[in-house]
Amino acid sequence: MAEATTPMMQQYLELKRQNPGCLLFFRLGDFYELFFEDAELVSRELELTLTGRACGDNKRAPMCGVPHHAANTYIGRLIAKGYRVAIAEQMTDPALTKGLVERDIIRIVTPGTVLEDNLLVGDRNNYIACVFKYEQDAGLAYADISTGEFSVCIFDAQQGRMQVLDELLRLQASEIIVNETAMELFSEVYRQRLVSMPIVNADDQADYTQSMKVLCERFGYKAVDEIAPRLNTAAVSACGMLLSYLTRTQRGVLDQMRKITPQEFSSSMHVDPSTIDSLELLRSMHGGDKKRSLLGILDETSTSMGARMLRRWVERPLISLHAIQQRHDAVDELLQNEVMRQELCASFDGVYDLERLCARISGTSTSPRDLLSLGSSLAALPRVKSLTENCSSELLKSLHDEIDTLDELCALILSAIDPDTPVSAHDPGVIAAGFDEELEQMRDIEKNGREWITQLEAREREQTGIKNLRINYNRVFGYYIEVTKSYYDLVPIRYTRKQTLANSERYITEELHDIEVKITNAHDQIAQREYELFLGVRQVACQALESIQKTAAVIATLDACNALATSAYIHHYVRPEMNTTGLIDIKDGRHPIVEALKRDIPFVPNDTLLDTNENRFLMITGPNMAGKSTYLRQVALITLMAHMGSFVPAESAKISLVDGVYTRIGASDDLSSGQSTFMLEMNEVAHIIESATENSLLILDEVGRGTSTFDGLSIAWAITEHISQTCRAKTMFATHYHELTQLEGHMPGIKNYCVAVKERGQDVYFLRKIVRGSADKSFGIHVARLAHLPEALLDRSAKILRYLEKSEVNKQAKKIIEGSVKEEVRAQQIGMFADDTSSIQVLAELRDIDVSRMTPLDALNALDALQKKLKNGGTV
Amino acid sequence: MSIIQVLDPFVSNQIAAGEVVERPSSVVKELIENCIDAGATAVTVEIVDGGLSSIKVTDNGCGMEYEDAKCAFLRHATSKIRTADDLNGISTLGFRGEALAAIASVSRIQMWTRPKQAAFGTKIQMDGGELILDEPFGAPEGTSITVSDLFFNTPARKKFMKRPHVEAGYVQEVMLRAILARPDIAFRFVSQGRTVFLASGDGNLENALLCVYGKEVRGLLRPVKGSIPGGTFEGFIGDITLSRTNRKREHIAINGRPVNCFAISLAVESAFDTQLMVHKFPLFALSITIPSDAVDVNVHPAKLEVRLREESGIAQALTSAIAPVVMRQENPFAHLYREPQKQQTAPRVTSQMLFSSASSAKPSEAKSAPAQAKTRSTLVARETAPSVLSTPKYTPAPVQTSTTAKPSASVKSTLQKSAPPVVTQKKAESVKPTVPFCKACCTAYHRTEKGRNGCTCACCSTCTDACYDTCSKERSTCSKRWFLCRASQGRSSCTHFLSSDRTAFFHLSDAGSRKKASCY
Repeated sequence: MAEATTPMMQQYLELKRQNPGCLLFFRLGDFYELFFEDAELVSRELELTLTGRACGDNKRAPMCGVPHHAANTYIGRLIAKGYRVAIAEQMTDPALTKGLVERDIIRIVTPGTVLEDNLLVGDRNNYIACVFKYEQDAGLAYADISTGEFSVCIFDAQQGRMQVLDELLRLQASEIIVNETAMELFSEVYRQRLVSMPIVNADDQADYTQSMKVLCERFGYKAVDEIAPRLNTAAVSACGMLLSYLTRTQRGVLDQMRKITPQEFSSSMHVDPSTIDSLELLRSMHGGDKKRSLLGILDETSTSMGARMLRRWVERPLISLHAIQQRHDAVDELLQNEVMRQELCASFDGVYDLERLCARISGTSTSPRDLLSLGSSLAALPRVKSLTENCSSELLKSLHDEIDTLDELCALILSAIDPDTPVSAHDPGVIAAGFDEELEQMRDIEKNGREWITQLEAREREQTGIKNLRINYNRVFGYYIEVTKSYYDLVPIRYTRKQTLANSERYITEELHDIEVKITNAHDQIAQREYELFLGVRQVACQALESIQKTAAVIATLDACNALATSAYIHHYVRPEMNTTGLIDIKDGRHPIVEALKRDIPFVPNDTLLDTNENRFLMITGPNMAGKSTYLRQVALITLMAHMGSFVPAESAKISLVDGVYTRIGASDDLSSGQSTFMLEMNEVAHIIESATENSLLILDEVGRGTSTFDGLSIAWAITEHISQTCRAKTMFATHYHELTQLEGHMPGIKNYCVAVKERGQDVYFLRKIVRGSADKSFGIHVARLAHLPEALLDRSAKILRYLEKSEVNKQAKKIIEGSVKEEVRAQQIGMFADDTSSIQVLAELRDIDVSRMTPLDALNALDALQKKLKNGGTV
Repeated sequence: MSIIQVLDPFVSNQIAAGEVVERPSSVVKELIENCIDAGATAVTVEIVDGGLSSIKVTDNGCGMEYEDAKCAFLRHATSKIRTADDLNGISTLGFRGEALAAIASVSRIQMWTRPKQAAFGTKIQMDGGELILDEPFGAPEGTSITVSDLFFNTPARKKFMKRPHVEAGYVQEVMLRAILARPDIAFRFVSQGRTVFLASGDGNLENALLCVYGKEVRGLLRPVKGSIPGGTFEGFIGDITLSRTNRKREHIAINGRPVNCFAISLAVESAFDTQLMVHKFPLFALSITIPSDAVDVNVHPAKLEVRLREESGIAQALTSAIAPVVMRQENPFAHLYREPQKQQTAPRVTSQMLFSSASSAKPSEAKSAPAQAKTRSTLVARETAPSVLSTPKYTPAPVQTSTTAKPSASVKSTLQKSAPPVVTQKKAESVKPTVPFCKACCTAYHRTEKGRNGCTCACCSTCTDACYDTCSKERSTCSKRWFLCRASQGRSSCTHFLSSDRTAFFHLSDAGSRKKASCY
């Protein structure tokens, strides 16, 4: 850049230098302009015209701009594409400034820090996460500034790194900032699964002491003291870095972030992201549709806060018996009392998104409509409080007590703000009538002024006799008297001509001018006064921010409980009995998503029995398309639903507390990341075996496919043995390897189940009922026939199948079992006696002695010799 | 060649179908009765196009074995009676063995069923009375019957069917009566994918009434119980405000079967004596239990009418038992003066509060919290006369005065009649009215609703103008069609609105459900 650039350009370049990595929106009059590379990029992305502007030294800088009132839309589009936008505003009024107007960055908008309504989705949080790696530890902090949430994750010491990555996937953060050393945590494969790419943030170097200072400043010493002992260095640094980043981009005001919430990783059930996907908890597998997921079925909430809270409950099922039963009690009570439930629903309808309103109110560009929404939401609270008055369940009672109706604030807002208020606070008409005396007087003056004008008009008409004399207003000239051509001669002298048009002329008079001044003055004063009052009301609202946030959390919980009760009513769910004995006993269980969405075929309910003894490992065989996968998933879903506080789709259910649900379902090639189906599966199985404990629930669907039959069978076999003996977790294992069914009886805890099938001639009917026993056929050919493979092909495959079945595999299976058993016994025996070749020799000799041909003396001698051999280690 | 010939069973089925299967609602009624007889606790009815395209009835009753399933659709085949003596003491709803055969002969039927304790079920498919398919099928316990393409082989009958939404209305009537007759069964009624009724099946008749009639009957139902010669009865009597000009809101169930019994209707109506206006009939739901030989149900082919053995005795007992329950109202005309429910008024606050801690809250002058406009939007114009007597500060008063004007052919005359009182009313109010006013004719808007674009629309009733956006007071661009209404006087001094396509009258309160006004 040449030195002779204009001062404005220098200003631009300076600001740009301070904020690398952002697109700089530079305010020039009514437009936001971008220059140089920014301009080219934006004009390409947003399809705007690229122009130029002289920047001194006879150079022309590329320029691209948007009008300021439409800026938000364009900024939104850029954010959606992942860019960051820095907004530089004119700090002083250009009309009053000599020389260069001061400009400064007022805000940096990034994907994780949007506040605008049109860019946020109501039922999800918009997270910005920060990962900090310090030596071997990794820390994770995340925040959502639109709701004021700030959380830091607490992990176990050993598994910290894995858990950080898992948690990040679960959050689906729209922006991730990391420090340099943390970048290596993100492998190529992992990055594919993230929603947004991590960016190294070199500006905010956060060390421990600095972070602590920043945290204490924001959240207070007490709060920080409470959680500091549980955080490692990395976590604290992550918090500090995130906080400084937010402060820097939002330029200070972050009132709505009042408290820091620690998230114990171990306080909620471990559900890893692949389980969330394969069980379709939050999104459906095909298409990512929320409606076809468990959350879609359960979400009968009436407020956005409730929807977000319900989503959190689904993502993090509880593992404390007491907490789960509290939720069940609350849902039970709401289910019994239909009237209360419907009334609650109706009263929640009037409640807007309080959490996000808080963020907007404490920000700089609050709209009076936001305040009005706050007021009407608060107005709905007394009804909610009275409805929950006589609740008997603990959770509902405590929620009822915590509702703060904030009557004063509500009354203030509703009396102060006019219901037809404009969107911007600077426009007139914000304050309601009757609120402020001064304002009323000024409004009177303005109204009177207008009446005066009308009277003046009438009088002038009379006096001058001009019939179509009119008094109009115009931004450029103000008030004027308009007279058409035909009456020019009747115009008196006291009229001063101001403007001439084709068919008419416009005049003013002294009187008119006076009135105009008064009206304009009144107008200005009204605007000023209204703004003052508005700021005052906003200030009062800001002071009550914390109570509003607390109340918002209460409403969210109530709404979520209500939603669970409503969905239980609609879909006929029952209350599960929780226990700690390890028993899972489900009678007539159903798959909640399939039964609700697939209505043309009736859903066949099935029982399930799992415990810690005889029914630890369920081996399920049977044909495809017969409902095996649905059955597996429904058991997992029912368990998860019970743990998140919802009722379950069954006739009755006894669910034991489970510390984690691990699944290995679904098949997909991830060729782009260089992993075949089988590799992925093995990865998942490895992860499962590593993390599962005795109290976990494992769902394994067809482990061992994707490789050759024998390889797969052996791996599946070994996994079965390992899990049922060493790991001892409750498992449901679906497979096509019928050989594995022979393990029942030979290994403790394994029970065979299969899908009932009825054959009639050549036709096979899948009954979708799970019964005890093992299937000996997979009906693969039958399924192939249903898919219309050519008949000749199917006949040939039937012949080949018959031939293969006759072969030795089954017999070998038996041998393996017996073989392995015998090997054990032998190993034990040998272990008992000796462990070197001499002993084996001795034994061999012993075996070869023919007792019937020996005299007693010979026998004694032989015994002596053998003993000597053993004692001397074989040297005889 | 003989002239008289015995018809083959196929044809005779179709003829019989004419009597039993009149329209989709009769199909639904017959199928529901079978479900109830099977001991179901949950019955789901789903119809498409009013039942003309498909009717699906699912229950969790006792199901049928394979052999039974196959002959269920034969004429005169039933499990409910065996000998002629059984006819004397019929305890099930269906017994003639005709319904399924009749239905099957004029439609395409698909049924799956599984008895309790069986491992699997059966699937049967029939086309116009001919068996097409029967095979084992995995199904849950119970039965599900799907009747598609009703009357596909009798085009003459099909032409007589009314429009789908009219037929849907008939089916809804059937469901309504079934729900009230058996509150212990969890009925679910779905029409065009939308759940219309979802009963809880908890056995509580009041809950069933609430489910069916909605919030409007809450608190207006009085329980009544007693004994009659030979049996007992119990039920709920509705307030006289809930009365209508027809007997559609009278529900009588004898032994769990919804019936029409003129004698009982008269008995209950006479219990009201002078409380009820002439030509008006009350809302009530009675459940009568008497031994099955005291009632004869074999009178009407669709079992709608019944004959009671002890008619007069029962009628007297009913009247005397119900009369005290009704008489508890002090003022028979109280409902005309019913004050609208007090709105929650937030106390007025002034700016003093902002600048000093002492707040001088000025009491409001009946100004409702403006935000409440969302929920309390313009009130029902049903009570026309009363508003004149109600407090003058009540803001929707202008609405009432305009609608008490006699319905006239031309809109202008109503305009002129209503304009003067409205203008004065407006000046009298010192506070800004919460109900937005129409720019054209200065009458208040009637109803605010969500427009198609998510805006809030309000409809002006007098000048038949379309919607206005309440924010900008401009004509709404989303043009919800049915709102082009014209107000007129209904027969029972309620207010009717004529829809824009001049096809039907609606009550304002029924606006959401588009129910035709029954008192027209």
